[in-house]
Amino acid sequence: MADKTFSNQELLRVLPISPGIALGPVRLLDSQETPREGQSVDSQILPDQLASERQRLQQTLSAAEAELDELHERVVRTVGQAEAEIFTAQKLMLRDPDLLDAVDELMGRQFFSAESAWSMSIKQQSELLASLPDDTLAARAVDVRDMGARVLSHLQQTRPGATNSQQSVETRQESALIVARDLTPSQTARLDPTSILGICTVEGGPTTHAAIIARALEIPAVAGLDARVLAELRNGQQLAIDGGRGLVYLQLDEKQCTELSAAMAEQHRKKSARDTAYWCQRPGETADGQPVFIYANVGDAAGAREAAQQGAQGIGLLRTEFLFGQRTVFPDEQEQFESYLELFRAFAAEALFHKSIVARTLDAGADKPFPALEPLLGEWKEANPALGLRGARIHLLHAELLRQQLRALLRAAGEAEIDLQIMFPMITTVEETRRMKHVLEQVRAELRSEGVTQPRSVPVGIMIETPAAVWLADALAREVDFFSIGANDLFQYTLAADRTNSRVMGLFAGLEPALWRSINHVLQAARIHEIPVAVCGEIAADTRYGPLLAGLGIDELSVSPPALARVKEALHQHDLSYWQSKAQSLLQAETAAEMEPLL
Amino acid sequence: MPVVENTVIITNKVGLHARPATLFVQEAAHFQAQIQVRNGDKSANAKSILGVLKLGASQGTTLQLRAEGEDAAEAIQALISLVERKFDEE
Repeated sequence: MADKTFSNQELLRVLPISPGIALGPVRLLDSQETPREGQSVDSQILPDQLASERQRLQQTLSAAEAELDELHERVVRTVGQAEAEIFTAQKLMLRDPDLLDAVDELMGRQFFSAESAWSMSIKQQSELLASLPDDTLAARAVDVRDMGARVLSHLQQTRPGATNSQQSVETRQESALIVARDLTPSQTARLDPTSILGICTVEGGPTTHAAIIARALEIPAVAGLDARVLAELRNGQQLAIDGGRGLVYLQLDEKQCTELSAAMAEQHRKKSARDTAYWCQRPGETADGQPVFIYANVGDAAGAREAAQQGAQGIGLLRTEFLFGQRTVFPDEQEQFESYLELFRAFAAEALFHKSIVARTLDAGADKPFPALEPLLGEWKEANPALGLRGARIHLLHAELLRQQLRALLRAAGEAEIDLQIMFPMITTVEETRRMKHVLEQVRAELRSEGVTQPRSVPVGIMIETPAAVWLADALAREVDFFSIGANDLFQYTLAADRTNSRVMGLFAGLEPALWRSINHVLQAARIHEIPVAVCGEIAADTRYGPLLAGLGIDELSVSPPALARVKEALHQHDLSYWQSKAQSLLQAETAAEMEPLL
Repeated sequence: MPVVENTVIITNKVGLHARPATLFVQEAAHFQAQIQVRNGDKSANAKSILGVLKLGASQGTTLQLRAEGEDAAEAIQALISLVERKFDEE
């Protein structure tokens, strides 16, 4: 298909495989079939090495099998069940009795090394398949070679004295246009659509698995590149392809460059808008439809609007500090009422799901100065602000401030007709909780007697941020309607490490067994008293940890609005049972290093 | 050891290719019995995906199955049923 005379030619006509424009630096990818340097293809072993060689092969097969499982999962998730089937077939090939008998015979009778015996058998089997008259069957030879190369690469790594110099697609993350003789299904499935701009190959056609996967991942691709052009291409050189029309631009003038870049940017913008829009409109749930509520953390009216637009199923943490931040005079009830009303309405007007808002009462502390509080509390210098006057402690010292804030919140919620929940910060004792609740009840009664509209029921919760609250979780669960774990503070109080101090935080991986077990302890207590538990804080928004928290039993994750779609997508990648079993293994881990590979 | 033999005609459109072959081999692997599958002069171990693919069995092919082992009868019955159900695909 490619033009025969390509020298000095700027535009080549090739096979369109997957639509879209890609422009960027070339990354040449070696074919997996190329024998690696320093590996002779017919190496022999001594008879007394046979047992260890057989064992090495068995271990290798298990490792490769696990990788195929992972690839299968990944393709089910990113592409679909049907496209993933090919990796099930490859797994069967890997355990094929005929293949393994042949390999074992070469090792046991002729004392070939595992690598040699394996390479020879794979070559023989793939050639037999390739020679079949039926094209579809012959194409399966690609899978035999793909699976064979995977096992071989493991064998070479486990060879005594081998140096691990494997250069793979997945470890190189700079954006580039992949150019190769051929891509195996494994290689294509491994490609990261965020860093692979496009694919250009010599071999391949529109019906190969690689092509199907490229289309599903929306990676522009062409095939049928002249092998002589491939030989002339260099890493890093600029190249462009048009996967829809089947074009390769070898030389680009400035005008073409501008046009193609613009087309690519537009394509990218559309795709990310489409992805986000899709997840926005969906509720948070696992692949098997088990609900996990994805709420937003919000700090002002603009944030509330954004949360609604990005598909928040509620506001899980309304930080009311926004009203008080730089003020020197404390805002009065009316002013607070107006601000809350504006915020509630901003959310309610565009909310796609529940109009549910969890408002945390003022969480002041000496680490974030509140000039408006100085007249009440005096000059605020504490040797140890994290352990000082903050959160609920201030509320109880100056109950009139809490009273004023609660009145404003309740009135605004009644007016805006939203479901309000009240949450108290920095709780360390049961008494504090009771006293705060008592103030809320008084305020509710007051408003009732004044005939002011307020929500009919207002659930009350507390933040679990201190080890004291963790250990009192069973007692606290009897007092309140829900818990919200403030993971950032809980982390620093549990590990006695300031999260802004890089000298100590450098000692922690970010997720420590102690934090994980604390969260689990809280969940156990909450389960007995049947109250829901939310997590807000950075780990909830981290797509590695959020779904695992759900697996542990967390009912709600509260994250910043831009993370909403991402967290929903991550959660939807597996069934709840998968996240549960992963979470249980994490709980067993005793060190951060043990946790790392489980993610 | 009981030996059971039977034949079945491939009726699904694509024949014993990719996915149907995978299902066939997975089904065979459930049984202890040794199972041979034959298409004319080509014969394969029913538990070998490579062997089954190499049979090149397309729509209309008659497969001869032969199983030897304690669960031979169940094995043959299960495989024939899978083929007759067109691998639950159509």
